[in-house]
Amino acid sequence: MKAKYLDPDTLSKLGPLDVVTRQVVEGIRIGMHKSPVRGISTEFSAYRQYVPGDQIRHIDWKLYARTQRPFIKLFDAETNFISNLLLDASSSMTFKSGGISKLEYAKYMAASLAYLIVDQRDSAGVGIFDGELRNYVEPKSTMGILADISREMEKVDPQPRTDIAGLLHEFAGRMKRRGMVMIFSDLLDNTEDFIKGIGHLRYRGHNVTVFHILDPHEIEFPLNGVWRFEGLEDDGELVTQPARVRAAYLKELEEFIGTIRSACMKNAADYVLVNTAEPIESVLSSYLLQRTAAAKNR
Amino acid sequence: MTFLNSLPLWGGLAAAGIAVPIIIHLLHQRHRRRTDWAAMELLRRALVIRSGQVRLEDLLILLLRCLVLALVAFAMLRPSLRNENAQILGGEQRVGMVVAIDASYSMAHGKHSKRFDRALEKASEILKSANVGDPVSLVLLGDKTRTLLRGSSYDEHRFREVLENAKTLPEGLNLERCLVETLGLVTELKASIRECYLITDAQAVDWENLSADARSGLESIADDASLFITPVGVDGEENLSVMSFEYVSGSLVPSGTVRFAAEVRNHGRQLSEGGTATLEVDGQDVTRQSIGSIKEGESRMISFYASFDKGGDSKVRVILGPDSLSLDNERQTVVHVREKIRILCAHGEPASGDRPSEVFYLVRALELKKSGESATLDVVRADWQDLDAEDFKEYDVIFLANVPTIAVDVAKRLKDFVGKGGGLAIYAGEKLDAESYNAQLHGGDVNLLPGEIVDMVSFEGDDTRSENDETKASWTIGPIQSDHVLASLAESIPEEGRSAAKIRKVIQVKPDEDSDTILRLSRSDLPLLLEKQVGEGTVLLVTTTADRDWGNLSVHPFFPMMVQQSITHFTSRPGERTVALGAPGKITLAGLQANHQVTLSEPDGEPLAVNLLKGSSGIPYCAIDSDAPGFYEVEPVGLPSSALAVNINAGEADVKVFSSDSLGTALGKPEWVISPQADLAKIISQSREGFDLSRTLLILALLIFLLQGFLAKMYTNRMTGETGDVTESLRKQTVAAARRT
Repeated sequence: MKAKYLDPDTLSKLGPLDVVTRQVVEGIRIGMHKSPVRGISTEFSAYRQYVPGDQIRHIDWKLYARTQRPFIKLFDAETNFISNLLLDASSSMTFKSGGISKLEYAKYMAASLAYLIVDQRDSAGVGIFDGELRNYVEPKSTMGILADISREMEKVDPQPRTDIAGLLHEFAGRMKRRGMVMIFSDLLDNTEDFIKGIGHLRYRGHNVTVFHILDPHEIEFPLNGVWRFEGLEDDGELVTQPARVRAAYLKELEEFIGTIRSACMKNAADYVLVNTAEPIESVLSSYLLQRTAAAKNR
Repeated sequence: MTFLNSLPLWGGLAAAGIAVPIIIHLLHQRHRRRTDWAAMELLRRALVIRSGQVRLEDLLILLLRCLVLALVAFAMLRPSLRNENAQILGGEQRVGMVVAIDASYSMAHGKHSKRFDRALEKASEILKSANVGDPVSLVLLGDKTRTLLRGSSYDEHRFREVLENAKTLPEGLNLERCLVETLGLVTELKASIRECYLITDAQAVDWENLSADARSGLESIADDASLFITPVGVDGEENLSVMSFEYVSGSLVPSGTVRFAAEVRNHGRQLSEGGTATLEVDGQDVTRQSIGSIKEGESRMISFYASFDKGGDSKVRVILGPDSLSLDNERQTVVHVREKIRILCAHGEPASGDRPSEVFYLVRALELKKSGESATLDVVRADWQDLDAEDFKEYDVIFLANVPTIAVDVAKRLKDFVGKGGGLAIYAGEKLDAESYNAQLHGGDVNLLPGEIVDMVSFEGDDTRSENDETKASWTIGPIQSDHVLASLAESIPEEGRSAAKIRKVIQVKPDEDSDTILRLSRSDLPLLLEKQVGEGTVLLVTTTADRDWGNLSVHPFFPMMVQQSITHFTSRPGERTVALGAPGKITLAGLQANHQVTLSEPDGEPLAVNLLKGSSGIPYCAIDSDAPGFYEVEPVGLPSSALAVNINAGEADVKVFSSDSLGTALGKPEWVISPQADLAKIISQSREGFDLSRTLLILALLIFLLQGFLAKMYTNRMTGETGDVTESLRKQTVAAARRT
C-alpha cells in the first residue's frame, strides 16, 4: 500500500493506541466498542426479572435456587463502529505561516486516524467538502480503503466558502447507525449553524469529535509592522498594524474558540484545538490517550 | 515676541524637523507587507474594536513627537517676550550688551582727567548692571572697531582687567564703519534683552553733521537693541595741533637749504598765544619758533629752514609745546639727502658758432651753487649719437634735449634705468622725431612717455609780431592747477613773473591716463610739463625746448628752479617717505635681494627682523603696517638706513564736543542720549524688559519627549504583554499530553 498521507513515523508512534468511542455505537459485527443492544458477550451487564417470552435458557438457575425467582442474566453486546472523517478543504484551510498548511495537516491527521480505525477493524470513511461535499469514500474496515482515502485527498482542489453546518446535517441523515464523526476544520464559518449541525449529529446519537485546526499565526498573531491581509475566502483585504490590534484579535479568537468549545461540551462532543505547529503524533496521542482514559473511567 | 536667532534658518530647520516624524510615519505606512489570511472575520471584528483607538494612539504619539521637535526648534529661535507674563512662564532675563568705547585720540584730551578715563568709568558702571554669564562684547572704536571681548560671558574680574589695559588709539573715529561693525556684534548677542552703549566724547566733528550712513547705522542698532549714547563730559576743549608738515622746496643735498612748512591750527574756542614749534632733525632740535597768536578755529603756516650736512635719510619732525592733547602736537617727514648726483645731458644739437649747445642753459641751471659749496651734481654732456655707448647705470638723472630719435636698444635701457629709480627728463626740439619717440617710448613694451606726441604746434596769434619779439604772440605758463611740487614752485613766482616766460612752440601731447599734467600753457589747454611714474622712477616731459629756439623759458628764473627741483624730485622724492597712519607703506631698498632679512625699528616697539619683499620693478622693499605715528626705520647691515614717516589723521584733533542736549537734537532721538550727569544705573534698570523663553521651551520639550516615550512604551507593552488564553490552553494541552505519554 502506498499512501502519501500515511507517514510511517507518525503511525509507528501511534501504533499502540486505539480509537475508542465515547458513546455507544451500532455495528454489524462484534467489536471492541459498546453496543446499545444486549447480546452475546463476556461482559455481564445486569439481571432482569423473567417475563414470558424470554428464552428459558437465559434464566440464571443459581440465582433462582437462592431466591426462588426467575431472573434473566443480561450481557453487554460489543460491536465495531463506522466512522466518517469529514475534512474541510475550503480555501481558508490552505493558509500556512510555516511549512505546512492547515489542510495538509488535516489530511495527515485524518489519514492517520483512518489507519488506526481500520487497524482496529472498525470502518473508516472520508468526506471532503468545501461549499459542498466534493469527495466521499464510503466507510470500510479493510486496509485497502486507506489507499482510496489517500488518493481522494490528493485530488483536493480547495474552493472558497465552507458550509460545514449543511454538511453535518447531511451526514446526520446519511448515517443510519450510530457511529463516529470526526470533523477537521478551522471552523471559520457561521458558528451558530455549525453548532446546530453538531447538535443534529449528537441528536442522532453519533460520537462527534471536532478537530479545530489553526495555524500558529492565527493563534498567536505575532506579526509586527504594517501588513495587508488578503482574505482566502474572497472576503476582501485589510491593512493594519497587527501589533496594535493583537490584543483585540486574541480576545476575538478566544471568544470564538470558547463558543465552539462550550457548544461541544454541551452536546457531549469532543473538541480538540490543534495548532499546526505541534507534531501530528503529539496531538493525536494526546487526544487518543484522553479518550482511552475517559473510557476506562466510565 | 522677538527671536534672538535667525528665523529663516531655525524656522526652516523646525519645519524640516517636524516633517521627519511625519515622513517616517508615512513611509512606515507605505512600507507594508502582505499575507494571505484565513481568519478575516476575526481580524475584522478586532479592527472594529481597536482601529479607532490605534489611530488615536498613533496620532497622539505623532503629535507629541512633532510637538517635541517644534518646541526644540522654537527654543533654538530663542523667543523673547517683553511681557511680565513671560516671567511667570519661567522665562529668564538675560542681558546681552555691546559696550563700545570711543578710543579715537581725541579721547586722550584732558587737562586734569582724560576723556578716555571717564569713558572707562562709564563702561565699568554699565558693566555693573550685567549678571554673571550675560553675553557682553567690549570694543574700542577708532578707524575701525577693536574687539577686546566678543560675546564673552560676563565675569567682573576679567572685564575689569581688560578695561584697565585699554588705551586710546592713534587714529580718528570712522563712525560709519564702526557702527556697521558694532551692529554685527549686537546682532550676535543671544539674549532676551540687547543693549548697545556708545561711550564717546561726542566730538562735534563726528556727530554734528552725521552722515546718512552713520544715521542709518544708529537706527539699525536701535532696531535690534536698546541704544544708549553716553557722552563722557569734557575737561576743556582747547587744542593746538599740527595739521600738516611737509618738505616744500630746496635741494636735498649736503649743505643745501631746504624749506619745510607746518600748518598749526587752533581748534579751541579761545585765542591761542605763546605757543612754540620746534623743528627736530634726526632727533636734534634745529630751530624753535614762536607760533604767535592764532584765533580760535584758524591756522597758521610756519616755515622752517634746515640744511643737512650728510647724505642719506633724515628724519624731520615738528613739535608743538605741550597742551591738553599731546598726540597731535607733532608731525614728521623723511627726506633723502643725496651726497652726489650724476647727471647725463644728451643734446641733439651741438654748439655751432655763437649758437650754444642745446643743453647749454640746462647745464648752467644744474651747476648753480653757492660760493664755497662743493659740487654735488656731476654733470656729463654727451651727443645723442653717443647714447649707445653710455652706461646708464652710472647716472641718477638723464636729460634728453632735442634728441632726434631713440634707438631700440637705448629705449630698452632707458626703461630699465627709470624702472629702477632713475629720473628721465625729455625736452622737445625742432629735431625731435615724434614718430620715433612714439614708436620706441610710448604704448609698447617700453612705455616711458607721459603721452603720445601728436604734432608740433606753434602759437597762432598776432601775425604782426616780429620773429624776435618774444614778448608778443606767444604762450606763457598757464594757471596752476596741480599740487605737484614743481607746480607749487611755479605758483611761488608772482603771476607777473610767470607771464614773462614766453613759449612760441611746443609739441602737442595727448596725455595718458596714468600721467600727470603739472603745467599747462596759458590761453590753451596744451600741456607744458607732464610727469609719469614708471616703476620706481619718474619721467618728465617738457613740451618745449631747453634752449631759446621755441621761447625764453630757458632764460626765465623759473627754469633753473624747475631744473634743480626736478633733480631733487627725481632723486629724493620727499613726499613719498610720508604716509598716513594705517595706510600701507613701504621702504624700498635698492642693492638688496628679496627675502633678505633686515631690522625694522618701529616708533613704540622693539626692533623686528623682517624679510624684504620683491617689488613690481624688481627692487625689494620692506612693507610697513603702521599702528603708531612716528618713524619706521630699516637698518640693513652694511648699508645706510632708510626711514618712513607715519602721521596721524589730523582731522581728529578738533576736540570740540556736542552737549548732550545738542546731540539728542541733532540725532532727532533725545532718548538715545544719556547725559553725563544722569543716573545711568537707574536708566538702565528702568529700560530692561524681556524674558528668554528658550529654557522653558526646552524643559517642556523634554517633558513631552518623556511623555511620548512613556506612552509609546505603554502601548507597546500592552500589545506584547497580553498573551492570549488560546496559546496558554494549547500549551497546557500539550503538557498534559506529554505527561500522559
